Amino acid sequence: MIPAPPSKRETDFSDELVEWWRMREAPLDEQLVSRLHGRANAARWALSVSRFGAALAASAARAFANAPPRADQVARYLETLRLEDLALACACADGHDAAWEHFVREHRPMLYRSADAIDRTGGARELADALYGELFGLTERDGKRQSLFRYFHGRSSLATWLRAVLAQRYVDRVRATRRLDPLPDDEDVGVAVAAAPVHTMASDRGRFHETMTRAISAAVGRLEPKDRLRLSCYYAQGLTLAEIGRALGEHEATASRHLARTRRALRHDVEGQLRHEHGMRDAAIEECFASVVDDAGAMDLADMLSEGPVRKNVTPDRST
Amino acid sequence: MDNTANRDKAIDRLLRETLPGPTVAAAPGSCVDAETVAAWSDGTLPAADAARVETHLSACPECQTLLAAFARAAPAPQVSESLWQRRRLQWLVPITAAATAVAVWVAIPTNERPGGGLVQSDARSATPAAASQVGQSAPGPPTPAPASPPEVAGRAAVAPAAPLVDELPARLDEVQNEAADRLLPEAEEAAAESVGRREAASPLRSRDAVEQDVVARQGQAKAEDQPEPSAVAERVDSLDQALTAAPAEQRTFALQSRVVAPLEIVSPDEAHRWRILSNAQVDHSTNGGETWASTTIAPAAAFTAGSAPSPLVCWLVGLAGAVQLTTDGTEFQPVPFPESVDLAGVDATSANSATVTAADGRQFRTDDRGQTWSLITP
Repeated sequence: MIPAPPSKRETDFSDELVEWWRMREAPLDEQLVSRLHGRANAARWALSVSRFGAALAASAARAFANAPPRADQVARYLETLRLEDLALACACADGHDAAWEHFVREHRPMLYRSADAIDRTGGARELADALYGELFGLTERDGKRQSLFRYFHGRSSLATWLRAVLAQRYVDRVRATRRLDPLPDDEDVGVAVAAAPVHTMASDRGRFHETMTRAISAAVGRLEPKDRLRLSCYYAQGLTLAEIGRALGEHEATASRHLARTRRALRHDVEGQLRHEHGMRDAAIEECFASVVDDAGAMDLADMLSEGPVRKNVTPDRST
Repeated sequence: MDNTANRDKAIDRLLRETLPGPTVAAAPGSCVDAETVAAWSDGTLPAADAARVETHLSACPECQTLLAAFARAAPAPQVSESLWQRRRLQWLVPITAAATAVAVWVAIPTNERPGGGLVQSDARSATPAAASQVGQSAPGPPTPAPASPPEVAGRAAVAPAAPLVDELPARLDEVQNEAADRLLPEAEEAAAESVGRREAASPLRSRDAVEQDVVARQGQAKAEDQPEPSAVAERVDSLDQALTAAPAEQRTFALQSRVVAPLEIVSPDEAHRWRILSNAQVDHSTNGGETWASTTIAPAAAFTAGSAPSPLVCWLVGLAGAVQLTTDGTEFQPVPFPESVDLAGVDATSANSATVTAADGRQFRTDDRGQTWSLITP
């Protein structure tokens, strides 16, 4: 059930007023606020300069929560905000009819498309409904409506923020569901425990495999954060190249190239470790790599037993 | 099995085995919230903050799960990535192909022009390393024998526009640069699409097989940022086929439209004109194109069309709802547009009024410099 757009009513801005108070050490320049108000086209939603200024102050207070900023730092920060989206969010929080119509027309369909994309079975639709309700402000505090919009500070586009909030809700729900899942039967655990230590059966192979595991872990730890993140997105989270590209702001072909380059770098690193730290010669190194390729046990077993919430959705086609 | 391939496969398996766990002892910093992820994804965080977020994300499985859900929540782009595949722009394919053929034909001396000169020259202009492999690595059906059709096309086009030919050699570098600018990103997209098509065609293939394919294909690219040769070859193939299929009258028009390039916007008095050199740079001429002055556009966007209703007024539109307007000929200002839809055309009548056509066929009109837009063809 989708709530109707709200009528104009008093909304609780006490949070922003508190932030405004915190910002008094570096008050916003009135001319700057006025100019940003114009750039945001805030008059379109009948948003006053002072109301928009309060939203700007709240945003700045959050961004500079750790240290009081200088006026020029605040000005630079405010210039980078998505002002039009911030104005729209403020107007929606205020219950401006036209703003809500605009939001419903431009953003609500995207919200549901995102819900469908995150869970193709339609399981995230109710999250989108709930999120929409919170944006409307179904909850009240001291008799005043509390809209989720008050947490939007213009640091990203409204669409991206909505998508991130929806993703957060989805992850929270999955985690909550997993906590309630029953533990596996003792019988299943027994099978897993009995099957897991494949390496102990062949001591050399097992030792080589352990050496390789330690070497790859060390090599991954030496990677640049972005390369490591890309690898984790692909191998741990099961994202497709296109999804990785969208997450990291690069084309999927670029993501693919970076992944290939990182794998090459890891191979060189592991080879170097085996040669220099373990004193291995070519034949032993070859045996180490072969121990991983020939040993299907640990990996396949891990895949079979891994029931992570996101990995369930992994599809064979990872390039789209 | 090849030694390197075997080792790559081992690395791949190890990564799948080890990466679901934490990659470093403890993720530095605190976990990121949804707003921070959104800001990081939009690239609006200061560099230091973005680096901190990246470092944390790279080491925190919990935050990676959030990032993964966030990435999955991004609906796939609704518009095909290839500009040339859009129905409203498909007419540009034969025209641009013919124009490129003419430019190459005129520029290359006769004694250096082999039978297949058109295709190879075009590929060279895109990327030297890739072009050197085009001949041996292009998969699929062989490139149509280009001996006579390009020559016929070039000469048929040159004849009725002889006065313009003098300008073409001087513009060769410009044409080649523009071709490279277009072909490089498109070839990259084509490479990714090619990967997707092949894997979608065989959904039952094992992940290993898919991975090996990707690794092998990546290995074919010599340099880090070069497109795959096969993608370049496919692009050249399509250009060649389009050229062969283009009617004579289109080829003739192609030469004329090449001289006044598709993204060169001419004002009514013809002395004032603009040309789009890149996503962030537009040149302006006040003497009919004899000299050009560069101006920078922010934010950068892939512009697809422009319209100049008067000598100092020019509207530009592009992908993702990008609209820019100058009223003094040099300084472009972003114009707000209500949707992040790809824009394919603009017809402006003044600095205040313009009609914009989206790639999906809808038309929007503004009469107040973009402050408000109305949908005139749903």
